[in-house]
Amino acid sequence: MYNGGKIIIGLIIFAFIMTLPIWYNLASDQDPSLKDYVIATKGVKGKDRCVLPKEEMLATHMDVLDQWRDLVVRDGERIHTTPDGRRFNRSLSYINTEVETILNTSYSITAEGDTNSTIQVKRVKAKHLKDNITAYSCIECHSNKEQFCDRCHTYMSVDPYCWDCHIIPEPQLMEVAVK
Amino acid sequence: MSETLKQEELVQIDYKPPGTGWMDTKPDIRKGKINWGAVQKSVEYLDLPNPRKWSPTDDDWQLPKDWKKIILEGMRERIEKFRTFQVFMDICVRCGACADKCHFFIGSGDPKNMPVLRAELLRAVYRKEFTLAGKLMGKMAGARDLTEDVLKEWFFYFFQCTECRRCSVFCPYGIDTAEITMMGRELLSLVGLEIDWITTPAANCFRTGNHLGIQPHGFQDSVDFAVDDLEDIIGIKVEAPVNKKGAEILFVVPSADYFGDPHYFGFLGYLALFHEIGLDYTFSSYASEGGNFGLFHSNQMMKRLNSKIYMEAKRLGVKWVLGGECGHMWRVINQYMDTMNGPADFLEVPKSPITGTVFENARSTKMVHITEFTADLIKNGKLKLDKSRNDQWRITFHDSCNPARAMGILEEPRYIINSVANNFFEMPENCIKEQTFCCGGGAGLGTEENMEMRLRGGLPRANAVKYVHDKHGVNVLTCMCAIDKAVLPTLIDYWVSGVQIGSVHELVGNALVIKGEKERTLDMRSDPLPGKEETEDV
Amino acid sequence: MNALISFVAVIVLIIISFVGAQTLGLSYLFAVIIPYLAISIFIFGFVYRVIKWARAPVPFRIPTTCGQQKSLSWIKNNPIENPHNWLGAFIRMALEVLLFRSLFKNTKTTLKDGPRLVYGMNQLLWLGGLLFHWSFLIIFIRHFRFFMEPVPWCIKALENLDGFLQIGLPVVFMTDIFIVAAVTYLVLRRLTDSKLRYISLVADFFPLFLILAIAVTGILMRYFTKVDIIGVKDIAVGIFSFNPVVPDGISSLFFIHLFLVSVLISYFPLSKLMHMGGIFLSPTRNLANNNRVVRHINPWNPKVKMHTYEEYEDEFREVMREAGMPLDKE
Ligand code: SF4
Ligand code: SF4
Repeated sequence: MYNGGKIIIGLIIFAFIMTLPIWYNLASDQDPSLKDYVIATKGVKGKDRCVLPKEEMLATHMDVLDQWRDLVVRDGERIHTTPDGRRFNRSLSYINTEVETILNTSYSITAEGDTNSTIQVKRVKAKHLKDNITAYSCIECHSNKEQFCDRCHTYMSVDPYCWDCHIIPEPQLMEVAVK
Repeated sequence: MSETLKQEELVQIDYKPPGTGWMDTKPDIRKGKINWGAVQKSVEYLDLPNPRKWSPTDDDWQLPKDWKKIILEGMRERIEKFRTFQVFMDICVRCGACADKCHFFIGSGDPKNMPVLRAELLRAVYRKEFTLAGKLMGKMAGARDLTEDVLKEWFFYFFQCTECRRCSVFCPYGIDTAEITMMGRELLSLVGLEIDWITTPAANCFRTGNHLGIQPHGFQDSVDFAVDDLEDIIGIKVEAPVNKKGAEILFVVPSADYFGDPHYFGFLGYLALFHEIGLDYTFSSYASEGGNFGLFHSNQMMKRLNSKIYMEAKRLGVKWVLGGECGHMWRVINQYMDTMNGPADFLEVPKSPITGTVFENARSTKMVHITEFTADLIKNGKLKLDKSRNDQWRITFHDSCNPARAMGILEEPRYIINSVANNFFEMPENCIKEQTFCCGGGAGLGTEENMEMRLRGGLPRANAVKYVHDKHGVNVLTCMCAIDKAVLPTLIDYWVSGVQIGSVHELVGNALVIKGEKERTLDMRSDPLPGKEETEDV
Repeated sequence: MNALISFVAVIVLIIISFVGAQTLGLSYLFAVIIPYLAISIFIFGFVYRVIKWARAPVPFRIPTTCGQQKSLSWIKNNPIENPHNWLGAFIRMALEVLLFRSLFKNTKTTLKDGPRLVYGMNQLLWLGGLLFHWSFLIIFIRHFRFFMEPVPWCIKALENLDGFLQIGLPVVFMTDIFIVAAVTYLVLRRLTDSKLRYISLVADFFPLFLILAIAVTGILMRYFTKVDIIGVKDIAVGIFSFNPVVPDGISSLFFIHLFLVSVLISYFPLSKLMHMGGIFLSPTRNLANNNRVVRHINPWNPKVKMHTYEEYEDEFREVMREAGMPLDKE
């Protein structure tokens, strides 16, 4: 072989890059696959099925969310009704939980005038929401973001920008809802 | 022959390929597009295979019985010996970037003159015989059987390539079709398919030292003539030693310099220059040809012819070697000589005895190009130059293929020309320096019987000359290549008129003010100098 | 015609993988066996081909010089286009490999009346080629997110860069658009330019169509008919950790994609695609033009018959004597 040194070095680099995933997976020493993953869902009483069947949700949830966002933000259409009549809140926040919290809080009126009426308005609004909606948002079933969202997203190196705007929900709040 | 070819007809070039695929299109083998086969005597003199009387226009090329085996064996051998051959066979992607870069394609429109197809001629057989894909898939993989017709096609197209390397400048992988042509020609030679204008000059060089077969006393006469002619011009009889032992420098020129026209005027220029600076040099009658027709034949032939320079330098005991204006000679010196016939450890690193400049760039080969040498003299102010003596000329410069693309000697000649003359005009950018166009007659193709192809192949070069001729009134095309000087006059006369061909050192000779010279009235061509026309008459 | 054959060949490959994986249920074959085979053919074939080249010597140093040589100190040389040392040659190669410098110089020759030859700029092929190759490389590297677990940050960074326009959902990768556009251009130029049509072989169209089909199936999977990418990654990671799995319910589009890629990489070492390795070994580009400074060695420098001065003088002694030329032997 002529110029063997350089060529062999080149070939080693080539072979190394091409087989990099092998070495990497070996070295990373993690259970490399998610094959036995379960969907981490706590479930809410009476809400044991999602908007779409699991397989479809897996493949298209990003499109569903994308459409929902536009519906909510542009048209104010907050409620999603499935063909079989189940209703969901198109939201990544604890809407339902918030409503209940407001309703269940006994507000003491410490200040004059305005404060009182603000609370009054909030209550009326919340009451209204509760009476008319009682629909759960995504997060209220799929409460554990780390288990539910991040596991797959990290596995697939997907970086959704949901949480650029939405506040990452705190699981403990969920407790209130489940009660 | 050039008279019978009409310009109007020649420029009706159809770049549309024929309807039939290239594997099914036969070449049009006829006079005008081919070179005659080598005469038996020369083939025999060089101990080459299959000497016989034959012509490419015959139907039967009298190949040896086992020609196919010989060729395939030859291919196998070259695949093992040349990485270039293998890599270039394997990696062309047929992107077509080289297609319209070849002067023969531009001038003829024959698709097989696209470098890529020229190479495919060989590649198709290579695929068939040496690659898995070609063996399995045949024509689908672009493979083709080696038949006598294919061999004829090789002959036709490998002797329609001047090994100019322009294609290799543009190829994204640097595929050098010249190298492929060289392989093709080596293979052809194995079965006795040689052309006369390569083999006979090679035989002559081998025997007598120069390509016309001039014997030593003839060489001596030529030099003596030149000395006399120069005396008529400058009024001084200069020394021009031949075979002088112990000289400091051996000077090797292409042999056309001392008997070709217009080369000769440059030769006078050398003599004048060396006299003026008092150079201790010698010619050699044995190594009286720097030009190397072996380059166009095979690496072995190149080595055989080139070996004389070092052997003679050793015998004469010189310190280093100086080389004259020549194109393919310099390709050999720059890229092959030291490898083939070196190391030249009996010589010294070249050092100009006049300026003291050490030519570091020739440290190993020990051979310096005359324009490097002269440019150094001028730069150091060692020459007294009268530019106005070149005022009869409006000058352009043709970069010869080999010095440009196998060496890169671009600025030295330009510097010299601009130092010795006033009116210098470059040709358009795409036609000079590394993109220069061939004269159309290099690599052994500068023959009479090949005239149509020469004129076609020379069209791009001539066209650029015409451009500066029309625009700037250019009337001399200078160059530093013996083949150029031999074939350009016909070419330029045909496509452009009123442009002479000259040497760089012809201009140097004109401008050089020599101590003790008589009042100069004549230039190196013995034509009156500008402003001296009347003196002639009186 | 050659284009048609290649096109049909790619269609046949698509049908094979569709029928094989979907109808015949040979998903293990298509998801595990064939990919393993293909990867081995690719890597070993590639190495074999390069070693084969490497075994042939470079007898002569023949760089194509595209600029002024280094000679006299006061003449400005071009250290890259006419490199005089390894560094220059290295830079020249790097520019060639990374930016296709030679192709950038491309011109187009036209013959006008007169006759007048005009050489126009022609960088379209350069642009198309560059877009194609770079897109291909980036897409290839992006795919490492399927092969590696956990996904390294640099691959994420590359993805973010590629999708930085943040259009659509999932975010559109620019390279996806570029590669389809560039391959389409490369096919079209072979079909429309008569010179190129004339020189193009089946072997020239085939990889283009194959890559186009690969790109299109990939794009379909990402943007249109979704597949279960968790399952896909399981397959990929499985392969690269020698723990192959084939989850159920993976769309046949994926099998087609994977099969076409397997064909491409197995075809690679057999074909002109080897230019990827060959470009590094091209002696007209990777050597310095320093022949006159450093002697290049030809390992098989042949012994040839020479004609010595003695033989010469023996033949011509008489005429030389008459001409008064010096002689070695009287
Ligand atoms: S430029 Fe190079 S790769 Fe392209 S066709 Fe010509 S020789 Fe082949
Ligand atoms: S070396 Fe010159 S003559 Fe030969 S194919 Fe290339 S461009 Fe044409």
